[in-house]
This record gives sequence, C-alpha cells and structure tokens, in this order.
Amino acid sequence: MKGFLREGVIYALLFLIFFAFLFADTMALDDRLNIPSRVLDFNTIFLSIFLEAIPFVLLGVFVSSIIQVFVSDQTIQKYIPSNPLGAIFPAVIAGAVFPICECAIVPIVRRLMQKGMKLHVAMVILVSAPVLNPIVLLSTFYAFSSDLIVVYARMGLAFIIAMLVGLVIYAIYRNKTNPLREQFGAITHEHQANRSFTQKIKDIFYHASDEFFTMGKFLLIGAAFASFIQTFLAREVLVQFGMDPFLGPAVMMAFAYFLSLCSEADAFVGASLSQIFSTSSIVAFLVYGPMMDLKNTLLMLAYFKARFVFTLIAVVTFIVYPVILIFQALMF
Amino acid sequence: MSKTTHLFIRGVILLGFTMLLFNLIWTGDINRFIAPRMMPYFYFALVVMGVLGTIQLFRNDHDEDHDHHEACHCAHDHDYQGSKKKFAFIYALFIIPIFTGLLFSGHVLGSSQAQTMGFKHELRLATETGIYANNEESQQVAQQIEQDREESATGDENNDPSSSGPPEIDEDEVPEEYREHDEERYDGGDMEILTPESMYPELKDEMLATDHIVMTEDNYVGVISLLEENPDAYVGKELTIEGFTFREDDFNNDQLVVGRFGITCCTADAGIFGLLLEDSQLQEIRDDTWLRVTGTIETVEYNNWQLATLEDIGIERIEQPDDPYVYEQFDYSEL
Repeated sequence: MKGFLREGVIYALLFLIFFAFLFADTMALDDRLNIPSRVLDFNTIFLSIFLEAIPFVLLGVFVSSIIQVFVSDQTIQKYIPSNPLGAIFPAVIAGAVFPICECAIVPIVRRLMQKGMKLHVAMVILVSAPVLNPIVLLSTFYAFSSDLIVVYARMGLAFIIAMLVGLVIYAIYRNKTNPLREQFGAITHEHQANRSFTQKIKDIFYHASDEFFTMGKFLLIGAAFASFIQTFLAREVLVQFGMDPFLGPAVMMAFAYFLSLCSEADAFVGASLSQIFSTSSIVAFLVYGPMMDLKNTLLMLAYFKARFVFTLIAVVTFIVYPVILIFQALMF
Repeated sequence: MSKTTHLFIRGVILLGFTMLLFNLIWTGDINRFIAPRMMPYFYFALVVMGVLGTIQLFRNDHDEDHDHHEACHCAHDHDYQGSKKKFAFIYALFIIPIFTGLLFSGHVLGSSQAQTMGFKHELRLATETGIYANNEESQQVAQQIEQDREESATGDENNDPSSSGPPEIDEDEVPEEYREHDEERYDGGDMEILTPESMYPELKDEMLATDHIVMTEDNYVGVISLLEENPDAYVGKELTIEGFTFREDDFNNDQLVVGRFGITCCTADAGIFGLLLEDSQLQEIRDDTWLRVTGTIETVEYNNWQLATLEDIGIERIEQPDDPYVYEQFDYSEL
C-alpha cells in the first residue's frame, strides 16, 4: 500500500514536469507572479552555472568509467615513474596536455587513484589540469593579449605551484591511509575479467547515472552558493582592497573561490577587474580559481574525506599566496 | 526506501533534465544561460541525459546488486542508504531546478544585476576611494587627457576648411611614436589589458570609414571596446545603439546607461557593455526599458576618465530582442 502511494507521488511528479515542459512558455509565470528581479537573477545565474557544468561533469564521468573498464592498473603503473618525487614532474605535464576542466577532473582523478595512482601524483593532476590547459591558455591569451606577463605568470606560477602541492601532499600523506571515502577505496579486480563487453557497457551507463547523482547534489549546492555571491555581492565592496599588496591577492583568491567560474571563462572576468586590482592580484585570481573553488570543493567532498579536502584547500592556499607575494616582490 | 524506488525517482529526474534541456534548446532560451559556442556540449548532454534516464527506468540491476557492485567496487549502494528526510532534501535539490528552469527560463538579467556588477565601477570607485588620488599616474593620465583635448581641438581647427562632414581624426596623421607613448601613458601602463584594436582590426577600419555606425548583436562588444579604447577617433560620427537602461545609485535622473550584457561561457560571467548618456529626454525613461538611441559620438570626462557618449540623441522605445544578450566571440583559429 505504502509502495503504491510512493509510486503514485513519483508518477505525479513526472506528470507535473511534463505539464511544465509543455505549457511553461505559454504561462509566462515570471511576468504574472511579480517575483523580485533579484530572486530571478539568482535563479538564472544558479541554473547557468549548473547547466554549464552538466556536460563537463558527464564527460568526466564517462572518461572515468572508460578508464575504469578499459584501462588496467598495470598500464597506469607502467607510465608513472616509481620514484614518488620523480613522478611529480610528469604529472604536471600530463595535467597540462589534457584539456580537462575542474568539474570533469574530480571523478577522473578519483578513478586514477582507485587504479593505484599515488595520492600526491593525483593531486598534482587535480590542481594542474584545469589551469595548465590549452583552452585556458588561449582564452587567457585573448583576454590579456597586451599584457602578456599575466599569461606567462598564470601558466608559469601554476606549474610551480602544482609541483609544490605535490611535494607537500607527499610529505604530509606519505604514511597515511587513503583519504578516499571508504566506499570508494581501492579496487580489487578479480570480478572484472569475467564480465562480457555488453555488461561492461551497461556498467558504464549505470555508473554514469549513479555518479551524476553522487556529484550532482554537491554541484547544485555549490552553484547555489556561487550564484548567491554573484547576485548579492556588489563588486564595489572589493574595490577598496584593490591595490593593497597584501590584501589584494588575498581578496581576489577568495573572490575566485566563491565565484566558481569555469577556468575557460575566468580570464575575461579577470580582465574586467584589471583596472581596480594590481597585476599580481589578477594573477592570484587566475591561478587559484581553477585549482580551488567552491563548486569543486563540493565535488571533491563527494569522493574524499572532508578532512582531506580541507587539508588540500589549506595546502593550496598557503602555497599560492606566498608564491604570488614573491612574484610580486620580484616583478614590481 | 527500496532501491527500486530510488531508481525510479532518479529515472524521472533524469528525464526531467532531458525535458528541461530539450525545452531550452527548442525555444532558444538556452542562450539566456549559455553562450551559443558551447551548444555542441549541450546536444551531447541532451542525448546522454535522455539515454541515462531511459536506461534508469528500465534498469534491473536491483536484482543483481551483489554481482554488480562486487564487480566495480564503487559501492554506490551506499547512496541508497539513509533517512527519508535526507533523500527528500537531496531529490528536492534536483527537482527544484527542473521546475524553475522550465518556468522561469524567460528571465533576462537587467538593471538589478547590472547594479551589482557595476558600470565602469572600476573607474568610478578607483577615483572615489582615492586609489589614484595621490598617485602620480593618475595626474599624468589627467594631464595627458588635457593635452589630447587641446591637440585634437587645434587639430580640428586646422583641418576644418572642408567643413563638410564630421571632423575626422586620421589615425595615420598622428606619428606612430607619439601614439604608442600616448596609449601607454593613457592606460597607466599595465592597467589597460585588452587591446580591442588588435582584436577587431577590420571592425576598426569599418568604423573609421563610415559616418554612421550601427551597432548590431555581432559587432556590439567590438564597437564598445573600440570606443572605450580610443573614443577620440570616432568623435562626430553618428552611432545607433540598442540596449536596456539602468542607473547606478549616484546617477541623476537625466543620466543612464544603455547597454547589454555580454557573455563568454555562461551567464555567471556576464559583463555590461554600454554607453553612459545624459539628456533631459531621459528623465522619464525608467530602468529596464529597451531603447534604440541614435546620436553623435562625443567624449565626456567621468571622474578623470574619458568615455564615449552620444549627443543630440533621438530615442525610440523598442521591444526586448529575442536574444537580449550579446556574446563575445573569439576566433581561436586566428591565433
């Protein structure tokens, strides 16, 4: 009886969605209901962040499923140098070659770890792939074409910072247990072998939808927070810190974190702020945002233990900030 | 809740997103969230969502749970355990955007968001907060602007004999050396970062050649960027601009900005592109009105910065265009 009721509710939901699908445009509710425009602005930006992320999350999920099913642990082991420190440099190069943004990288990195990749190597890829990325390079080049120092600084500093992150994570976690949430721990592959190809394909799709829900809820929460900041934080508030050599970079890092922009687009937003912020603050914005932002923190929480996620944020933050200050001291 | 129920509701949610994406693409409202150049990704997402949703509804792995998860060790089963309240919350998170997306997709960012983002706030506030006040650079900038004005004024007198048509400032007449120096100073060294002139060379030539610049969806961002970079070059030409209106808190009634939001990837990175206008006719125009304004390009000093504006304007109310945003288009192949 209870089951019936529940199914009835779900059918009603499906019907309601279908109804809205057919008639939403003729209803023109936004005109009739007189909803404050700020609320609608919030909704629009929230949806735009979420929608923008969906294809890339799906791509990440599929790539990770394909790695899972078709790439063996041995293959991965073969290509990673066995010396833990020697593996850091190739990891940055790998991050730089693959055009993977910050939404897609999380499930991929987690899968690589399940396949036996060392934590610090995986983290190097996690922070480097979204910044050191051919598409990001092009968009940054466009946005800052007359001030190429920003382009070089973004790429150069990101490279150095990714290596430093790898070193520090290695130092901290060398002897500790796997920080993946328990249910995502290491895989033992005994059963994989005897599944047929069709079953494997089915597995890919089942995984994809499971992962969409695992990551989706965090993505939604992240998009809502980011949209709130976008809609209600007047940019004027930031201005007073603009040229301060210490506060400027810090404020821009915080701003980058909460805005959670795609790394492909953040260069243009950075360029629009370039008149109120010093060059080093802009570089801080462009380097830190793709490595760490609210949206991708929440995505990481889907797979990693909270404690590890916060440690990683702290590590990245306390590496980026001093590196930016040193860059600033050397350049200006 | 049994796993069957979970699979069912997830199937419904995935189909809901499929319908949302289909609706947005069908009506074109998708471009109120996402720039057109990202569309291939959304066709991909639409297909994948549809397939996933359909598979999910007919999924039968609840019988072979054990098998399946032994095989992949991803143990998503964990996802299906928890209190009812937790799931009500999680599924509501997914369901709400489906409805707000279907019901309110027509909303277009307007004056409220423009105020949050600010028009030329960088210039205005920079001066207000005194960042440039005691700064040599700003004095240089101000001096430079003065000089420019005097020079262009005398230049006009000299060139005037033809007297027909608007005074044209020929870029080539200004010695290259001076111009580079000028631009550098003008922009305060590294403060100005975009160089529209190098990004829109053809558009620049067109604008210099014509007497009447008409702004369209395609050239919008380019025209505004070129006007911002070097307003003096276009003084005296006629210009037609369309856009919505908004005022900042400190504007007078007869001042407003006519502009449109420009989008790179998604609406979250929107920025305002527009012109600041001042005219008594504008007093009765309310914020968020769509206007077509035609006038003569003039420069105005706004807190020590020179901006392009329009004079002797004629205004006409228009309907909001189907595609209210403009999109920044970059041809990566040209690099």
